[in-house]
Amino acid sequence: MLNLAIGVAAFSYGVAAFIRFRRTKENRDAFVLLLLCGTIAVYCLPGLGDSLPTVEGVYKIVYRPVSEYVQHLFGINWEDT
Amino acid sequence: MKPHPDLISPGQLGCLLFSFLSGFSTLFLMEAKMVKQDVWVSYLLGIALSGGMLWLLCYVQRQHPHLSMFEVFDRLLGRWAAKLLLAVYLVYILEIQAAAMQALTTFYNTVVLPNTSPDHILLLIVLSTTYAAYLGLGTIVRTVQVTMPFFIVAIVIISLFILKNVDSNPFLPMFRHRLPEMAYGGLLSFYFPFGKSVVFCFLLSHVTRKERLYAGSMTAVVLSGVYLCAATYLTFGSLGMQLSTDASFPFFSAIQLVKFGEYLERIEIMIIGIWTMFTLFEVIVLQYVFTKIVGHLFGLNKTQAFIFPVGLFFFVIAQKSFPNINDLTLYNLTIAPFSTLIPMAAIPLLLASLTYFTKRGIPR
Amino acid sequence: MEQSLTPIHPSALLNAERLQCLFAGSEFLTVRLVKDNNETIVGAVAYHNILVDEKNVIQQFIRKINEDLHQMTGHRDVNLITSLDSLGGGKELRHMETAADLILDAGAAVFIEGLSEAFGFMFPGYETRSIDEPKIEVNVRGPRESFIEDLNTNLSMIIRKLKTPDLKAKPYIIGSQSRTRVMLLYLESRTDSQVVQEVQRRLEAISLDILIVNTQIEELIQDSTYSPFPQLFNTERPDRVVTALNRGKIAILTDGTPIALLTPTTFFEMLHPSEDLYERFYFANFLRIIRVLTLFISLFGPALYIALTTFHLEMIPTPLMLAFISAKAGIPFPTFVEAIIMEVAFEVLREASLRLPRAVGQSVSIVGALIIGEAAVQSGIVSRPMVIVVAMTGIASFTIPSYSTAIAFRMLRFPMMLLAAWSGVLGLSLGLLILLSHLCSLHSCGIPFLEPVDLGRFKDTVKKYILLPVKFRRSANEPSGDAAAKRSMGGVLPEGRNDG
Repeated sequence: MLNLAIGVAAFSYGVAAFIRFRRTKENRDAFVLLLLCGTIAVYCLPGLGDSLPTVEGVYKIVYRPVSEYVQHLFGINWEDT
Repeated sequence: MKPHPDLISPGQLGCLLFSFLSGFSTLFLMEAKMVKQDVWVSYLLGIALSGGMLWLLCYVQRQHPHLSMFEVFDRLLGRWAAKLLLAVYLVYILEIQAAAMQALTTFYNTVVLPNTSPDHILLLIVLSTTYAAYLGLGTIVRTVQVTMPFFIVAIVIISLFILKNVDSNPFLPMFRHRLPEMAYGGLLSFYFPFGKSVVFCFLLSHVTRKERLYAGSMTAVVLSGVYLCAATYLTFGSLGMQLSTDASFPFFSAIQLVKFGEYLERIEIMIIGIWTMFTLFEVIVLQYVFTKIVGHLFGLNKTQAFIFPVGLFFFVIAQKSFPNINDLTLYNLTIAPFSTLIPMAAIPLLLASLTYFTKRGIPR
Repeated sequence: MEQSLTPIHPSALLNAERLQCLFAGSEFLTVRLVKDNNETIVGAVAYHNILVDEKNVIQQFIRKINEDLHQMTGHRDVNLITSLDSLGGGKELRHMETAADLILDAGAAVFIEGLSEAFGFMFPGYETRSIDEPKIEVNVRGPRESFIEDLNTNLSMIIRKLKTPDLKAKPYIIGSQSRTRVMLLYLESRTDSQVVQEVQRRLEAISLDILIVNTQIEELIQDSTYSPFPQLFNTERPDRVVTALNRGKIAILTDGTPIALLTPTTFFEMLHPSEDLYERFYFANFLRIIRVLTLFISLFGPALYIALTTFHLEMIPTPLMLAFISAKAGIPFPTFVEAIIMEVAFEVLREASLRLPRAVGQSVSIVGALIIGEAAVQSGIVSRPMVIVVAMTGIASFTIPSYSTAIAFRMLRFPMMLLAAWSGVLGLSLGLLILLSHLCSLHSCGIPFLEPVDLGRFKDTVKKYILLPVKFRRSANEPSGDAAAKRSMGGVLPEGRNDG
């Protein structure tokens, strides 16, 4: 419910700001803002929003091998801590 | 008439950096849990590494005194490579803001407000940081300067009361951990909190006296280290090593033991209130810098209009990241020290090298 | 601008007719023609028959002119000027519009045949309120006079206390229809010239049809329109204006308003009444500390109560917590609703007691506070601790000397209560952060509103807040910037006169 409200708020803000920027001929600002607000709205969608990537999710995949290698190299054992 | 709203002095930069680094630093005490009494070595390593990176970034800025760091990126790397590396900083900011917001939310949900929805807490945080970031750098700095004395007084008073519970030096006996463990601890403290100071490279061009850039920022890093070290000392000393390692939020567990006479048994709520304000400056600065980077990356004219959607973007990313405290802890211990190395170390090294060689290449 | 003005014509009759055209449809303009022994028109006198004291002054004035004229010989215009000169206090007018302004300002314009300029004399004949005791900024030991609606009287009250040529006054006429006189006052050697220029620029930019009170000016020249906090200080006390001028501030006085505006001002000046300077410094400083405390109570009192009793009961000592719980038993509303009911009731009572005649107003507030409060507790609508908290908060808000600032804090209490009900101490922290950020973003004519509250200027902050004994007070009142430099190069004020 809260996410839906935030999604609607982001989308409304994006559209309103888009129209305002277009009026002042600041097209680049208008499109970037709309894109950003659209992204937020999509993240807020129930179901779909949860399947979208986060930095945490991507980095876990990318850096886990590096981390495991370094921990192995340093002989870090988390059980001790 | 009005002073330029985005120009700050080196002292003000130092205050902002101190609040940026110190706010969350005592929340988990990760490296302290790992290397226990030898944690001060890790802190020293973290401070040294961060100091080195800050020196490089200040050097780059001093060599280009009339350019913002964004323009320095463009000049040294070319337009598209600069955009790519700035995008790396965007991702870095998203990563650390999600960790910071989730940490604060988890803390509140665990210790203070167990019946309040974490999403509501996140939303409240985002709304207030959005307002503060909207007001601009000058206002953020002045707010830090107003808030800081209250924070310092509160922490000093509470620390003196915790000190009464410390019987012996908990940092003894020294060097009970292997060098690789202390080095890993150093890497942890470099990621969190000291290395975060690289974000300030985007604010260096706003500082009035460039020759005092490094002094101002390094003082803040060192003081932040002193505060962290003192908090760890007090925590170990009052809770004991085992309890400190087991507690989710060890420093606040230590604060909970403080009693002011018979009538104020749980003073920590007030301390938490002041501490919360102080921690939020990290998110505020991140939101401000993120918006500025977006503005440069896409060549935007009016970045003010982006502050609110950036806040909402922070909200959704933080909400979808780290579903529980274990995820956050594991990520902070194993992934983040490596994922953040590119923006915290590699890019500053690259910029400084390019600046050095470019400077040498120009005939005098 | 100058081109659009109509010059005075050498024909007195034509000028009189032009004025009559200008005031056509209004019964208020009286024109008297002055003739010599040969019944030739030698001049004309025009005045506003409501604003001037027609019976006693103008008739004597015209009679004297006529008598002088009939006794003299030679050139008629020379005779008339000699006659006017003997009256003294006249000023030259070169345009019809200026003459019209003078007439509307309770003056008489004298046109002389053959001359392209007129002479103006002031004969105010309307009633003004006499100088009274301050109604809002009441004090015990200080002077007991306050501004009235007449600008000249207000100016005289200030000038009597600041007898120095260093006091500069710049007049403005604001309001295309009301033509209201506004006066900008400052001490040249003490005021930052940049600030003076900035205020002048803002005053000159004002475009209004009618200026009734100076709150209109305040709203138009303040830095942030949407802030709940006043960024100009309002005062009804001449002594406060004098003290402020001496500290490098600028005063703006408006005809018809018994309140002066002071700028630039800071947040902490809003918390210091002029009374502080008339008390012994120990007591004054004690009161200043109490005022900061009451400021926090007035802003956070009910919010803190809501946060503690809803979310953080563990913070309250056990006996007190038990007392709260037993008092709350049987109350049908959550604490937040209870607080809202009581706060709204309190605001209604306060508003009612303000609007009613004074004697009745006091009765209403007493009846409201005692009877309604007691009845609400008896019937179980609100708890006793809540009544205590709301009453304490209300009383605390009365200690803030600046009325406009007190209103801002009263208003902000409600969002704070909402935040506290939403998320306890977190909400309060975030509310305080927003409030502090907002205050830090404010400026008063370019000067930061929270100046000099920051770590970098700890000494200044202490001096600003702590009242020193009189002999050490000079440095605390140092103006900054070029004004200080100017004074050091030979300011006109004697050493001893540095604060009020």
